[in-house]
Amino acid sequence: MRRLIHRPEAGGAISALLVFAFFAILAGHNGFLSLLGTAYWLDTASELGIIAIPVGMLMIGGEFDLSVGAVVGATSMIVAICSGSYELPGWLGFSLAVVFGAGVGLANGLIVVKTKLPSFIVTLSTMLMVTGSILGVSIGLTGSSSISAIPNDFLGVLVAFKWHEFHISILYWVLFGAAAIYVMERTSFGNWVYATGGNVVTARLAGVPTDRVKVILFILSSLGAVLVGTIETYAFQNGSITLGAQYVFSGIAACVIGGVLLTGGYGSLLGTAFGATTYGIVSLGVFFLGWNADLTELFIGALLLLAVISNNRLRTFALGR
Amino acid sequence: MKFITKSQGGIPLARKIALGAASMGLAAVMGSVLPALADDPQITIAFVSGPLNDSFFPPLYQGAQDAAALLGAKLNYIPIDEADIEASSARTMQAAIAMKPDVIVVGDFITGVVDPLIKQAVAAGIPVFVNQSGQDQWEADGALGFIGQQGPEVGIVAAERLTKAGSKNILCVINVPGNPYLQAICKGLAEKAKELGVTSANLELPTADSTDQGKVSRDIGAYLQAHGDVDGIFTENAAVGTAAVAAVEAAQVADKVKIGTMEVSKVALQQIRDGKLLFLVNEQPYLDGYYGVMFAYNYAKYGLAPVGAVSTGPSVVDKSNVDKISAVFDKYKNVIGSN
Amino acid sequence: MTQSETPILELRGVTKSFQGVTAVSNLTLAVRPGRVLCLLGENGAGKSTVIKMLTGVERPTSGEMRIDGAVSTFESPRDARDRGIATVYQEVGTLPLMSVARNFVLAAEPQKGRGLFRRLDLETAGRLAVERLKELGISRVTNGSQLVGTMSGGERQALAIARALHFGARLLVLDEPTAALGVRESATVLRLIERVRNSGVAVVFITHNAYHAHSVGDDFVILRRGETLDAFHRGDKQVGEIIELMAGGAELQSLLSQSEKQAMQS
Repeated sequence: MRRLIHRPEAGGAISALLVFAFFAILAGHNGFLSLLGTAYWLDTASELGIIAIPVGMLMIGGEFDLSVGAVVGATSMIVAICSGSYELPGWLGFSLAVVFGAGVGLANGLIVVKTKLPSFIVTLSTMLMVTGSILGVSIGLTGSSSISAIPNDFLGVLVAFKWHEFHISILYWVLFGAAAIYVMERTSFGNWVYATGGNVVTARLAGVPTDRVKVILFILSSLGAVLVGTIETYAFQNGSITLGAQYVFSGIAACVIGGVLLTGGYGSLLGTAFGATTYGIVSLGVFFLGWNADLTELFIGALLLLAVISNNRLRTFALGR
Repeated sequence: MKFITKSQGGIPLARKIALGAASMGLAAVMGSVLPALADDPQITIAFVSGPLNDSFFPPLYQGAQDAAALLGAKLNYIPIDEADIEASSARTMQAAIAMKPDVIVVGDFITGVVDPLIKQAVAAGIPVFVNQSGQDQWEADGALGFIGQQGPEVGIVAAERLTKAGSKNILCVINVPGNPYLQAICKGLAEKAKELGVTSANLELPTADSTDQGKVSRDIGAYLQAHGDVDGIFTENAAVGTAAVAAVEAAQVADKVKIGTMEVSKVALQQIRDGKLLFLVNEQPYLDGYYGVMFAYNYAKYGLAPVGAVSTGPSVVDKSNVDKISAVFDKYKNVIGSN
Repeated sequence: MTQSETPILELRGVTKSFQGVTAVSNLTLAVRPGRVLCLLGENGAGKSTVIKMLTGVERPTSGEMRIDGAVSTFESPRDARDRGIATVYQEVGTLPLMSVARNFVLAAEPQKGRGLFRRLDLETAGRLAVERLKELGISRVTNGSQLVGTMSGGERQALAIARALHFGARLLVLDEPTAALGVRESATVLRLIERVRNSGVAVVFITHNAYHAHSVGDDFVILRRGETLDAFHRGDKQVGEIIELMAGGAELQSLLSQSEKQAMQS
């Protein structure tokens, strides 16, 4: 038991279980437990979860990325302009978005490691620049900031497929989540990420290429946003610059609820998945209860605070002090 | 706070600043390229309204531009930053006054802030037309006319349409919580519904969800699960309308639940054609911009203006006229809608 | 006698100046396998400049540096590391929120499996870490998955040293390893130094604590404002004399009462 509670994902697992039990009991008869209800919160958790995987890795590596939301919106516009306004094949738009996203991540990473400025400020700047530039391009090209995306090739199926209401994003969440957990727990790169976040000087002295680690993490973080941006754009065939704005905070919230330390160096991606699950359950549960939707934010806010407090507790506990 | 409601309202602050700044720059470039007519001095019109990153406004801006080009007037379009709407409403109106234009057209969204400035402009000898919002204040402020749509009337039209289609329990979805204009529409809907003998309820979506159609759809779906008696939905922008359509399809209640929405979009038009949307209420933002400039021009040049408020909405699009609207939508960019 | 063995590192009449300011002048020292060289001095004595030269961060301005008997200098810190010179820092030597095993193998992780299934061999890492720690006399750590943060300061030093030795260090530079430690933890570290020395590794022990130096040192160099104040071998001097030398001899002596002097002499 003691060993179990020592694990960084313990807090996230407990909170996911608690909120599930809470809504199952109170809203079970309202359809929360139905197939549709389950699909609803799983879809929400999966989209947030995909964002939160690389964001969690980055946070464990000791940095933040506030530009993910902007990259989701930018991806949405790129994919929509290509497929909707110019009738180019979907894969081309997606490839462009991948290149764009990787470029933003690379820029974030290089600026952070070269200037040694806090990533909080650097990615806040790139967030504004990404949104501003894509908006400018979009209005220049199409006169609009919200454009229809037309699925015209296999990409439409790859990102928009659903079974009942279970969206294919759930599958990606599981696949990428499992791959990322493997990387973090069972590869040298994962070890370097933990070390870089734990203490960048120690890691560098030990021979870890900390700059390269950070740049890679920033690129992954943007690529997660590109995937989610594409999925969400195709789901409603609508490109919007404002898409994904909420992930700036909910992405970090999912990680923290999942046990990732704000200071870096500690946490787990399994915990992050539990964090996203918690968020998905709470943010839909309130509708099944017919409560005021603003309670979602109250709930998440309270959970976040609890998580930060218990993360620090768990950490001191884990260190046996 | 009228226009923040028009499409996506819940953009986090910092991003809104970026959006506002970018569109502001573009508008400044776009606004001053028109040739003057030979004889008379060119008439300058300052147009204070919403930013182009809000998908409601590109048609309005297009209408204003088209009228200015046609008339040979010089148009200065000054976009308000939605992220900082109170302060920005004041700044933009002050800028308009400082430019000493021949006429000002202004969207009076934050009446407490803008009304004194309208009075100030009028006192400085600049005629003012109020656009889109401010329908209750414009006369008292000394403005010469109003072009736009009355919020509660939208709700009344929606209630009538849904009730006529057989809805007994109507859900009015507010996508920006606490927004007075959107609430006024749902209030108008509720009052009319009561009068017609049917019930109605409001669903306020959390701010964080307003930019995520998938989440909005699931939110509405979850509400429908818990409230099985809902058989009519009215939404206040195009994206939420599409999300509501998806929600009733997922819940397999599409044959029972009728849906109406505000704001034209390509998807919405198709859904009307497919029978998935019952109707949409169109404010005709192109006309807001077009008439705004035209009235301003005629007043500045000839001292002529329409008497009383000019309504550009609510105009309703349904199966009977959707093909005609769609044809125009496809043929002319940013006239019916931007998306 | 070990004295005759070729030193791993040797400085002969080395001077280092930064933009005309001399940080270390005319320094001569030799680090031999199986011996502990104590570099003593108060703050500003030039110890950190010496460390930088020994670990390849800086090169001497003048004088001769010999590596394994041949006149040479280090190209870079990496070059020094590749030639078996390892520095162990007290503050940043280990990562408290990571396990013993992960710390031990950081940046040189053992792998198992092949192709796509190539992965960290944490079992081997843990086993190695526990074994090496045991060799250094640390037996309380028995599980590689234990977080380093749960270990004592001395045990963490041991882990950092074990790690350096495991990856081929033959000369350890220990920068103030006892500075922030209590009496018991300091004793642990001093025992560590002895064990390392006895295994044939060369140790440069930088400290300003004469007692700690005296208890484990074989060769001593005392620096003061960049000058070599004295250099001697084990048994040549008492602790009191060393303290005197470090602090500036007569000045301190005059401040001490007679009884204190007697206590120090004895």
